[in-house]
Amino acid sequence: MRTWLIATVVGLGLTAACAQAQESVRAEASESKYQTRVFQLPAGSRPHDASPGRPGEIWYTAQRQGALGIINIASGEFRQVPLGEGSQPHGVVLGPDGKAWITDGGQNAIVRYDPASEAIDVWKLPEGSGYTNLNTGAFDKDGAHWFTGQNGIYGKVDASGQVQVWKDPEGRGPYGIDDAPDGEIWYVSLAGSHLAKVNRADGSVQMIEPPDEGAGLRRVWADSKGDLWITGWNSGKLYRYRPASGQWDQWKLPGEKPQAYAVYVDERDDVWVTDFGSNNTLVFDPETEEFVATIPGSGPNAAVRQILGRGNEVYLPESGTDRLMLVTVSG
Amino acid sequence: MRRAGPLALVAAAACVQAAPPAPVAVGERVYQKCYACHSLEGPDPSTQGPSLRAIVGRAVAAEPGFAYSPAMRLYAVKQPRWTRESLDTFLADPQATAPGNEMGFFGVRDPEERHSLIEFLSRS
Repeated sequence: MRTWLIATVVGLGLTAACAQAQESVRAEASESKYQTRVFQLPAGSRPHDASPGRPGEIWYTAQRQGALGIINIASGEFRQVPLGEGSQPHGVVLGPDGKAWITDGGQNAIVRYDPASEAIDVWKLPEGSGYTNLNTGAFDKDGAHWFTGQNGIYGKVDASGQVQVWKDPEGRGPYGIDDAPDGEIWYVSLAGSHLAKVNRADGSVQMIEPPDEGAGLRRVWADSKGDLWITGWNSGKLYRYRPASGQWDQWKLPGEKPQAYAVYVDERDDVWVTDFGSNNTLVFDPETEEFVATIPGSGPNAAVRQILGRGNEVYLPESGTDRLMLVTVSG
Repeated sequence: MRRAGPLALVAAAACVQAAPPAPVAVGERVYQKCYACHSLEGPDPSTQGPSLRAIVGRAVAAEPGFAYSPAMRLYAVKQPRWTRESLDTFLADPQATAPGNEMGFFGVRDPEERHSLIEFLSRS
């Protein structure tokens, strides 16, 4: 295990590397209620997903270095914990047990890291599953960890440690997954371009088609009311699906050729979306139905593939710059 | 000591040429790492990458209608056609070979696996 002291940026840049990053953050973000701070991570780490860790910590998957990264926000120190031979971690979420649950495509396994004991548990997918290209995970209200695999599967590790895998009815594509406030599980398929509600009792899914054919649904996140916010990678749109009524709403992202990737709903029910087309993260206000803030990547092709946060903090892992941007929302 | 005659040498060469075929089954398994984004059935707008059908010998970055990244278009200038050798180099480390390309894949480290994959793809 290695420990680095990382350079962070608050206000003016402190190091050459981070000063460069700071310069690219436009005034509209840094001078508003969105304060940004950039953590420079190891070169080649390719931080893919991030999650709240223990209080005061951010976890991230160092996908190319096969490790879980742990950032101490106050001190600016971080370290990376190797996850095993062949590891290529994609997603990470904080489990109800206080541990990091990681969807590890390289190991074709669900990996759990205990920050207290530093123990690592590995649940390999069943032999017949083949390589599944594991993607993202979420917990249901009974504590089962549900996950997607982009090669066309979804599955779960239940509280007893049993692993089950099912095939998506349309094959390749299962990507983002989230638990709604009622504890139910939803996922979206990128290649299949559908939303799916999982029947947790028997593992079957109810598929729901978006209004645009071939929208390329990339990620999904539930707000406090249980409405689902979904990104369309191919359509460049932000969608809202209301399970109670079955209604879809949609908003095209600004710009010439938007590509909506990550989506996250913060504690205020504001919706955060990343756009690869413009290299920005956008904040959408569902009340006014307007994009109210633009937070540029810290450098060219920042490639923020996932968003998550805690309280007034929002984490933007930049897989393209090997940085993680922390946005603190005030006011 | 008896020396091998010309006929024996020819026979030996034939044996070398008739070595066991490349493990296509292994290549098919390795292809599962590509499957999420690349079909074998020709252009498919639902997938994130171009089709790998008949990739060996095909022009680089040339699938009609596919929006290639600037990195892949630049690579095509240097390497106009996918040969077995160029595929092997690319698959070993896609980012090093075509820096800035948009593949979320870090390559196939094992040379035998790459060989098997290319053999499999050559038959697609």
